This record gives sequence, structure tokens and C-alpha cells, in this order.
Amino acid sequence: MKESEELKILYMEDDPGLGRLFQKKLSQLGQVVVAANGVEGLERYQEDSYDVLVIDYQMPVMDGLQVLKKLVSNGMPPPVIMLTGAGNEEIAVEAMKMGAVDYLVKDIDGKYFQLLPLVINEAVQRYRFAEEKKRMQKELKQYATELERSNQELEQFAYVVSHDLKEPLHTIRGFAKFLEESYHDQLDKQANEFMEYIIDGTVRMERLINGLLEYSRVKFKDSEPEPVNCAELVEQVLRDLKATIDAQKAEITSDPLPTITGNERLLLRVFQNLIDNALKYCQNAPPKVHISCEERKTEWLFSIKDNGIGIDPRHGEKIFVIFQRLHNRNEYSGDGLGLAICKKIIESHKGKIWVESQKGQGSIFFFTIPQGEQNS
Amino acid sequence: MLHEQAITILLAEDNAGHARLIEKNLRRANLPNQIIKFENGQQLVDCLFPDSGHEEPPCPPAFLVVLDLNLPVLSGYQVLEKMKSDRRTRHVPVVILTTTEDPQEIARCYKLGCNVYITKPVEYDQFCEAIHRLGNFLAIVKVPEKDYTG
Repeated sequence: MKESEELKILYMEDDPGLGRLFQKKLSQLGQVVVAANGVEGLERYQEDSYDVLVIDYQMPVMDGLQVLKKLVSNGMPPPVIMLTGAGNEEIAVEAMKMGAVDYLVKDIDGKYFQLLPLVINEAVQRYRFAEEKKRMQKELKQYATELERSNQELEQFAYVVSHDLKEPLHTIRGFAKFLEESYHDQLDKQANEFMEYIIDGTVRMERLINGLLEYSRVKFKDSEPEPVNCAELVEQVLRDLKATIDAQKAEITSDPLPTITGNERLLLRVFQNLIDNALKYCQNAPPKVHISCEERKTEWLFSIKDNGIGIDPRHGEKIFVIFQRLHNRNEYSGDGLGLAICKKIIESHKGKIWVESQKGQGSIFFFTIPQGEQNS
Repeated sequence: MLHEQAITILLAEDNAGHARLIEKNLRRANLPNQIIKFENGQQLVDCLFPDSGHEEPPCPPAFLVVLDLNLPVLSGYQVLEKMKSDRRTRHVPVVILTTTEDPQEIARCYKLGCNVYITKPVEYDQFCEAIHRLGNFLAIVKVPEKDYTG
């Protein structure tokens, strides 16, 4: 709260002498409106807006608690400070329960009188802070909802687009193929070469659309978390990649791997993509890949280490972005989707994925999966 | 008495090129049946219900329908619903051949009474394979004759 800012204070007090005294004492804080009883106080409150309300408990017609009750029932009022007589602490407790932010006991020597400006200031500050916090929380929630919605829209968009691209693509590919098959001899060399480009293009487009469809479909939160045996997942990946592993004389080792909670199909994809990458981006030597897992306080930390070409650290983030590629297609095949899909899967499991690497010195891909319940 | 039933295939697919592609692939699977193509749902409905006053090819005596869902004018869902709620056509087998794999859409179509639901795979080779199998399947399907539809 700014020092210079004037507060508007409503003071309900049936003793006119005290009222005037307060007005004088609190003039340094701002403007004080005195109401001679609860009914008048409520009227004043309706007419104007106040930063703080000071209510004396002992008033005729309506006592302080009745006034407070009325105020609360009409919606949350600005901060209320209750003044009670000595020995009336139960009233104070009751007032606090009903929503007063503070109370002062009217002692005979008038010490409370000295305290009042401080208490008022603090109450207002606390109130404003709480209001600000509420406002920011609301704003944050709005942003989150907005973000969630636009994310969903984007996913839906990617899905619909990739979906609708299928048919025209089939038509191009199909008729290009029919032409190639049926008219190959009637076309000259160049026309046949062009035909090949058309077919190559559609084949690549198919892979991209497939990847995009897969990417937009990664949604763990819609599925039930299940126990996933990572050792079995890796075994399955190694079975699927057996031909490549044998051809490259690759050596793949693994520490014992735990059973974690997540979506098996999606996590299989992560291991598949990461191990496949480790084999793909290898140097001249046979690939060596090691998979390990470390149990941390609240999560599992997996790592997949290779002896491949490595990644320049400045590209460390870029590689997880969809359709980003660091190499020409004729050097290393790929669509720039594998790691983007991994990132999306890991993040949908509320984990993180990153890489530590130096160019030419192999890479270690890390990812974390929280332990236990995470599907919230 | 016993005669080979010549089943006509009514194919509703809005993209003419794609329809031709499906037809060509069905032919490659040696499907000899006559295929009549429709570019939107309304054309198909006009053919099925000739009393509507439209001039469409007359409905063949024995037929089945291969239906895309994303059709202009009348969507595949609307055609399916109309067919399965009409006494004259509810016995006709309907094969949904579409791109969507959304479980909700699949469930909706079966609820509306479709007989078979097939999705078009993204990869062309798999798409061809799927159409090939569909062709093999359609070649052995029997449909009720008009006199027995009740």
C-alpha cells in the first residue's frame, strides 16, 4: 500500500466523544466517517465504498456481531476490525470466526487507541494482498484454461488436417503408381524420373502425416495409468530392432529396469525412438548403447547412452521440436518427429526429457517419470 | 431358381479421383461386380428412394452400399440413418469406408446400424491392401433379394 494513499474508514461507534476523538486521531490515515449505531453504519456502508470498517461491539439496536453478520451475508465486506470491551474475548473470537480480520480490546487506559492506526494499516494491507492474490490466481487459472483450450484446438487441428490429407495423397500416389506401371514404356526417361519424384514425395508425405497423427494422439491423461515393466519394454524393442542390431553389430546393454506407472504403449514408443536413434546416429564404429535407471526421491531417472555422433549442445533443445532436423536426409533418415513424440509422451507423464552431449562424443538422453500416482 | 446373384456395389465417395482409385483397387482384387459411384449422400438417397422424384439410376435388384462418412449435401451418417430406419432399405448391408478411427464415430456408426466399418490406412500400400481385402470380401457377400426383405 502506498504511504500517501488516503484510506476511507467507516467507524461505527455510539459514543459521540469517542467518535470525534477517532476522527482526529485517524485523520493521518485518511477520511473517517462516523456512524452513531449499526443501522446507520450499514446505511453508510451501502452508500459508499470503504477500505476498512471499525465496529464497536457494544451499540444499541444492533450490536457489532449483528452488524458483521449482516455485512457478511451481503457478500464479503472490506476488512472489519471489531472493538470489544475488556473481558469480552469470546465476542472477539466470535467476530474473527465470522470474518473480522482483527479485534482490539477497549482497555481503560486507552492503549488500544494508540494501536488502532497500526492495526488498521495492517488489516488493509493484508486485505489488499489477499485480494491481489485472489485476482492473480483467478488470472492464472484463466490463462491455464485458455492455454489448455488452445492446445486442444491445435491438437484437434493437427489431427483433422493430417486426416483429411490422407485421401488426396492416396489419389496422387495411386495414380502416379498406375501411370508408372501401365505407361512406363510410353514415357521417356525424364518423365519416368519425374514420376519417381512424385511417388517419393508422397511416400515421405505419408510418413509425415502418420507422424503428425501419432503426435497429436499422444494423450496419457485420457488413459488409465497401469504398471509398466520397463525391462520387458526394452526387450521388446530389442526384438523389434534385431535385424538392425545384427547388421550394425551393435552392443546394447541394460541395467535392471524397474516397473513404473504409466501408459505402456506410449512408453514403449519412447524406448523405441530413443534406442532407434542411438543406432541410427552412429559413427563408423559399431554402436554401443547402455540403458540405465536410477531411483530418486520422487521419480525414476532413465538414461540411454550411446557412442554416436553426438549433438552440439546449442542444439540440445531444438532436437525435441517437431519437424526439426539437424542433418540432411541423405546423411541420416528421419522426419523430425521421433524426439518430439518422446517429449510429448514424457511430458504427458509429468516427466522431463533432455540430452547431454558433445559433438562427436556420443549422447546421453535422460528422462524422468514420477513415481506412483501421477494421472491427475 | 438357383441363380448367381449379381450384387451391385453402390459406392458413395465425394472425391471422384479417390472413388476411381477405390474402384481400380477393387478391380485389382478381381471383383467383377458392377460399381455405381455417387458423389454425395443425396444422390445415393435419391437412387435408393426413387419416389422422391429425382432422376437417378434405378436401384438395382441386389446391392450393397460402400459409404464414406464425409460426404457433402447429406453426410454418410445421415444416409446410414435414413437407410437403417426405412423398411425398404434396412436389410441392405452398409460398409463404412472412411478415414476416421475415432472410437466414438465407430460406435456411433454401429449404433446406427452399419454392418462393417473399415478405416483407410494412411500408408498407400496398406490402403491398397485394405481395399484388396474388402474386394475379396465383397466378392463372397450374399444379400437378401427384394422378395425376401419383408
